[in-house]
Amino acid sequence: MIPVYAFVAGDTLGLVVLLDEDQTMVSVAERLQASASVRVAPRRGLMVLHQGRPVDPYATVASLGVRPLDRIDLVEGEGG
Amino acid sequence: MRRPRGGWFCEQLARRLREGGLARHKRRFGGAKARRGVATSRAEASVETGSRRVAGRGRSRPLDRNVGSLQEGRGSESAGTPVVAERSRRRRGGRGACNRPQHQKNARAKELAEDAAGVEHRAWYPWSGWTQKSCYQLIDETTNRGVRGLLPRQEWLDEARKLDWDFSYVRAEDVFPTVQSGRPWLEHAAWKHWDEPFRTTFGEYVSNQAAKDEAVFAVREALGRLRDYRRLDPVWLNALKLHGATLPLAEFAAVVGNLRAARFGRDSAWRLTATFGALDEFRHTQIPLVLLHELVKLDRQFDWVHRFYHSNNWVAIAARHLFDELLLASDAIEFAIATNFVFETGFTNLQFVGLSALAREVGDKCFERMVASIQTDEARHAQIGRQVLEVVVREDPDYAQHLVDKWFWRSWLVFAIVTGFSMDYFTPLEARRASFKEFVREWIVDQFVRSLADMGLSKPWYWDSFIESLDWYHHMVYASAYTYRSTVWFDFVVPSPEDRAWLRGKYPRSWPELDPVWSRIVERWRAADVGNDFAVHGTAIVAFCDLCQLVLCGGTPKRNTATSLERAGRRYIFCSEPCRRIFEQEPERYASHECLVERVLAGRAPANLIALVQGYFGLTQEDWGKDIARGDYPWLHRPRR
Repeated sequence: MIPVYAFVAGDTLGLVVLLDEDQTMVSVAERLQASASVRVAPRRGLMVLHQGRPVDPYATVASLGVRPLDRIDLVEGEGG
Repeated sequence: MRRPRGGWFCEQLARRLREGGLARHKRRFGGAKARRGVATSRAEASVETGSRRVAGRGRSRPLDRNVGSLQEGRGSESAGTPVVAERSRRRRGGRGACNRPQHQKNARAKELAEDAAGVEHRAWYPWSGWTQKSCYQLIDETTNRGVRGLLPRQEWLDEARKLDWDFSYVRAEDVFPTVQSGRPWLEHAAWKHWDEPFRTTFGEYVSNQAAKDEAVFAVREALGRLRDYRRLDPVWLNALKLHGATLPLAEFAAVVGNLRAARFGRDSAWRLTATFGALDEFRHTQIPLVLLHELVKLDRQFDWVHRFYHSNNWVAIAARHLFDELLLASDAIEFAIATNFVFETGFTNLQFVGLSALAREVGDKCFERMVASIQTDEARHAQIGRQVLEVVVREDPDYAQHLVDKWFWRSWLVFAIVTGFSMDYFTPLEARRASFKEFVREWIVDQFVRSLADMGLSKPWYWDSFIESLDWYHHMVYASAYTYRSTVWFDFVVPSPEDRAWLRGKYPRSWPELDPVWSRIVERWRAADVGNDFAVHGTAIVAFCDLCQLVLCGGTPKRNTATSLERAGRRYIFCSEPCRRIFEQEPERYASHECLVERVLAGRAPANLIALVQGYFGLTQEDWGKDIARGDYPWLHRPRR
């Protein structure tokens, strides 16, 4: 499990979310939305950014080389 | 040969006494002294002896050495009457004094009997022959009119305030080392014009503070009973819980900061004013503790008035991180600029004016009086900062600008939470007269910018971000904290439709982006059972800033301003660019501190929310924060199930 800082568009704070190495970015997006769901209603059409750069929705955590305490953003845009 | 100032002072005093003051003094107080037959001549001789000694040896001799020589011989002087002799022996712990409780009790009983019989005691200053009554009279008369035979206030106060002297046995750098006194290190000549605008004497101070304490406690007696608090809006009580926890022991830490300045401040007038500041901070500790902790009878969350700073609650970690550095670790110069100028002049002095007005609107007379009483002290000792800053700006303007920039931002974040919550969420709608943003713009931004311009300083480099944050920061933190309310010691309220309309009007730029968060929370409550707080509660671990230790709530919901940094193999995250810059300017000061996330990841704090709240934050189900209505708001229109 890899802890990352997660920021969901529309949310008011940053969270720490634990990711599995074989999770795809689609799954990561769902995970992040669930973590913020008390404040932000889940929705489609969001895009995952890793360290500020857009990533392939089907890339895995391991293939992207995500390290502990990296920043993952879920922002408005195509993807996920 | 350098001549010490103490010697000059003694010479002036002796001269004034010789020129007639002593004769008048004898006429006024001669009765008691004549009965004893030694005091006046002894006093005169001692003063002269003191000045001769100093002048003759040419050595540094603080004035209190001379005072000490006066006091050493007072035992025999005080033996004018049996009553005086016995009382003074007992007080001094000399012959006749006894530590056995029964004997002390008997002695006290005898004193009370003597008091009842109208026996005049001279135990206050037995060596001088002055009674308690005459001492009070002296304080009053020297303060206000000048007593016959003694110098009027305006003639001695400046000499008493300015008691610096040149050192010959030690170097000034050793007496005032940079590590305690601060930088830039300057010769005393650079500080000798240090001058506080509001001067006070110890007599005036004691008299004024006693009157202020009496006023506070009179209001408490009249309007501070539990039934009076029960009449207040329960939402407002959470503003009291928030202030009651964060204020008193931070003020106690400020005692230490002031005492450091009282010893290591570079001019005697500064040191004297800082001494009053330390005494002020004792008041500011004790009054809220006394007034607010008592409310634990009403609500056990008020127990956090005492417990807060002794806990590992996340807010307490952040508050300690700020106040430990600000009040305990800062040298005298940094303390004066950071605490007296930025924090007190910039924020708390004005905050207390606003809070006092707010409390009046709410009908909380006790809190109103308490805050107003504290504010008058803040206004006095806050003046230290400006005087110190003027010197530092003259000698090292870049350092002055750095301190102002750093401490304005650090202070702002905590201030925004404590006061922003209270003004925009915990004050009943009908009592609100202005939004937090309006208050800050009117009372803080304008006057602070004016103060900086007067000093020749610029606005902090992040000023635009600060102005932007007025619309966002405390709202972001409030919404976040609402959904983690079990992690704090006070309750939260969901803004009603009327509240949200008011907030939309006051924050037209930010509220459209914030309102959907509250719509979501309301939607979650509609779907949940009444009282099921955890149905509308976060469960993920929250991220904290590695500088301010507060939640990552910078920027806007669309664009969080968190920024990260890698240093010496460790990764840090900050809520904002100013926090990151402050860290980078002094990394050795902050790098070793572990934020809560790091403690969790290292296994030193539990990751499970309930275990964290109970086992690490020290909260129990009875005192952790809840929704104030348990989700049962009449405007919620919960569907029937």
